[in-house]
Amino acid sequence: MLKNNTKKELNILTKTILIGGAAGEGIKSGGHLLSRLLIKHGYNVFLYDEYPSLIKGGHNSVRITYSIYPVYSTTKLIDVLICLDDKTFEEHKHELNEGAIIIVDPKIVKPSIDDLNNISCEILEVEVSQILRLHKIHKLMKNLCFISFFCNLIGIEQNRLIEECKLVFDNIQNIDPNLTAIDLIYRYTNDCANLYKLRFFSNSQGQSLINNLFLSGNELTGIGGIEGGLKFYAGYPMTPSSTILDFFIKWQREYQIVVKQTEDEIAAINMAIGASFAGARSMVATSGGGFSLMVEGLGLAAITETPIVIILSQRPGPATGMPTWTAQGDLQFVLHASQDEFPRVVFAPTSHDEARKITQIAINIADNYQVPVIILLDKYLSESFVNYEWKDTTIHNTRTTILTEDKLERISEYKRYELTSNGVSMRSIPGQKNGIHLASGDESDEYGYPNETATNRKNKVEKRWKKVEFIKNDIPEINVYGSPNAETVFITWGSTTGSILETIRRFNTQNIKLIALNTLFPLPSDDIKDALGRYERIFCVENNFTGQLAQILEYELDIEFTGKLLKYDGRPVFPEDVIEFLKKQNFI
Amino acid sequence: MSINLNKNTNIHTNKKCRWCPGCGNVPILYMLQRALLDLNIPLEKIVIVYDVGCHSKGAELTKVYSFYGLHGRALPVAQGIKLVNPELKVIVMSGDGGGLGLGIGHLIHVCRRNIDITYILHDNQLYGLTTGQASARTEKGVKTKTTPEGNLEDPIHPIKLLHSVGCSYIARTFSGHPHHLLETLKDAINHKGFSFVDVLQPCITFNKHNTYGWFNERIKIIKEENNLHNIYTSNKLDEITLGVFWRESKICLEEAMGIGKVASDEIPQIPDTNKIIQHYKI
Ligand SMILES: Cc1ncc(C[n+]2csc(CCOP(=O)(O)OP(=O)(O)O)c2C)c(N)n1
Ligand code: SF4
Ligand SMILES: [Mg+2]
Repeated sequence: MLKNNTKKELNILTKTILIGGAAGEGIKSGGHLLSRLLIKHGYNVFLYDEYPSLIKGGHNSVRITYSIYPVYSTTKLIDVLICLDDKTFEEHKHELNEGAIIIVDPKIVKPSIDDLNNISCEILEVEVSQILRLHKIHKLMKNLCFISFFCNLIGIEQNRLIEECKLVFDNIQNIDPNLTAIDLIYRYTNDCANLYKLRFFSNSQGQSLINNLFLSGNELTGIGGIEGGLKFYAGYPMTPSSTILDFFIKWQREYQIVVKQTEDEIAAINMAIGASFAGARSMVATSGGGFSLMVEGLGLAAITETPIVIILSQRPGPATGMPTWTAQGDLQFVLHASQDEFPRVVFAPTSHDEARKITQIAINIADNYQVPVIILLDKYLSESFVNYEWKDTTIHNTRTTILTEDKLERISEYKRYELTSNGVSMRSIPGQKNGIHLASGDESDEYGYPNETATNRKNKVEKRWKKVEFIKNDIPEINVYGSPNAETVFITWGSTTGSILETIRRFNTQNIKLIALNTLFPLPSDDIKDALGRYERIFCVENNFTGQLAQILEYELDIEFTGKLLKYDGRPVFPEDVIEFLKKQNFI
Repeated sequence: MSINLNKNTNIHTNKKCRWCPGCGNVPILYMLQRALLDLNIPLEKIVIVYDVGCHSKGAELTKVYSFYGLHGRALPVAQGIKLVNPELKVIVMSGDGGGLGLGIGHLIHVCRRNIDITYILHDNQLYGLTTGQASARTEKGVKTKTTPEGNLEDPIHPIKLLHSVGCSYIARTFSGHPHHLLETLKDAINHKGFSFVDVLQPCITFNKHNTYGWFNERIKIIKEENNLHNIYTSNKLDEITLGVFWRESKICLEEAMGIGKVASDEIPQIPDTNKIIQHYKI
């Protein structure tokens, strides 16, 4: 049994700030500004924003979890609640941690202690609107005022905030009002800040992370694409995948990538298939709705053996569902999407860093095995930002199944779909002499010509499936954390990993093992068995209703789960959810 | 007019032709092959992308790089190919069902982009391969398998439609007029930009209305190009005009993007990521 020392550790080592306000009040940019400052002061940061599918007027919030230790996820409980509006308090008052601080403008928000469910919190008031009015400063500075107050509270010096402001808002013509606002707030709140400073950990504990990058899961996915030699990207905007399109639009010139926004997702995948057929490494990204439209194209890529990487960043559905929220509900869908059966590789990065690495691996596997590869992300991983220590990639790009004109010249009778021992045949590309062939969505013979004989059909089905055994050699290792002899095993996949890791870290326990799968097909069954070892209890954690991975493991590996933590409310699985789950299981 | 069906084995495979004898697809295939040879384009530099339908049975008959994709989706595949390798000559063969039904969105958008692709519409006014249902080109009132009491819907008039969305080359020709067909195809392939050729193609098995005879009685060749009046009257049924309706020179998307050929058979090196690191550094 574990001792429940969570709360204490949480308070000392990790804090979560939530800044909330109306859409358009600069919640996101404020969150980014503060995050950068925290990183520069030596804290690791995990930023996650929650917002409705609206441009103006809805409730926006950004959750920043920071710590001197690595931060693997954000948290449900809030230590500092910064309310730019009334709604922020209403929406988040039930998430307050013991000893939390609530920062409000008393003219706008009047929190009542009765609302707080016996949780002891302190309310700090700062008269932002009055100060702004008095000094004739635009109300757009509101978010900056609150952030200035908070920075003052935790001992971030005024000039460091000003410096950062100048860096982040370098596109603003007149930055003076920002600087005035900062100055005013620091002056008005100095007494209060001096009282509180000591309550927060001193920033001298952390080493400066000044060389870190600050970026999102989607941006790291894009970087993995560039490193994998991506040459064509097509996309149709759909949250939470849209920022991948933005990323490639931004870098297309620098890295000579042809990037096309298409009329729909059907066009996107078919264009990518065309580009890939012509010899360019190609990728598309979308969410569940767009993927639904791409499904016929997925089958086309499979039967023509055209390499393609499809990124699906999940959100709650079906149909439009909840566009800006998170879920892991599409695993079984991507494993089986399309008519008939054919292998596709399915990855689900378990961290920001893996998003980058797996994308590079995916592009190489797609090209070398001539199969479709799907990467499952979700809103939580795609759109959360972390500080990231850059290391050059150690993954090599390879291209083992594409022919050159020289090689083609030496082949007397080229068969594009030659039956081989590993199912992969050498591919020529348009423009090359002696490589002319037909790639066909009809079942075809070794030359590519349509052929409906029973023998040919059988051979071709087997050819496609043969690849799987060989692909297994190229998939990344599974992630196993914690002690090998732990009696309690957690199994999860994709982004949910972070919260379990965070739980293990906080308990500092030897008694939990976590197996986090980054590859769902081909399933690394042997590695999972090895990693399982002997255990007493086994739990599955997933962000869906039916336990989609659990079903696979029950079927494939005969695992009987002691319990399943399934969350399907559009919010990520938080460490607190894992802790509560363990309590319910009488584990703590 | 009779057509010379001499196979040129440089471009014609030894595969069997799988069309009904007398099908209007046959002249399109032969005239396209002849056009490509006449234009002296190296065969390995040509890619033909096929939709799904009777017309696409030509995919196994022509010895160039070919891609036989999904119903209605030939155009996106073709655009992907052209955008990563502008050195290739890219041609799309589509039926009126796939092209103006499922694929109509792609057709409109490729006109806006003006990508240098030639699009050949095998226009038999119905669905051939699925045995004779109405298409978006079936005339109002005409009986087909799915319109036993006569078609209740108006057809799409592609010449008018594509002109309104900026198509840089629009022509119409006829399977029954091989000479005109050949010259039109050559002209369209030579056009720099997106070129659309509507080929009136009798389906002798299912289309008992738009027959060779019916077309022959109505056909009139027009010489004057870029005459809006000809475009406005292109939907008339008493006089069916053939010729180039519109020709315009404007920049192609692949040029405007300015990236050029990125397709290759080489192993991609890991690029210098220094710019990225600097950009995302805090
Ligand atoms: C998504 C999809 N829907 C339906 C079909 C069935 N189908 C094949 S060809 C065709 C219609 C063909 O008509 P058209 O495009 O005019 O070509 P034609 O046979 O007349 O040359 C249809 C509906 C298909 N292959 N794919
Ligand atoms: S059904 Fe019509 S279009 Fe199809 S091959 Fe026969 S004649 Fe040609
Ligand atoms: Mg047709």
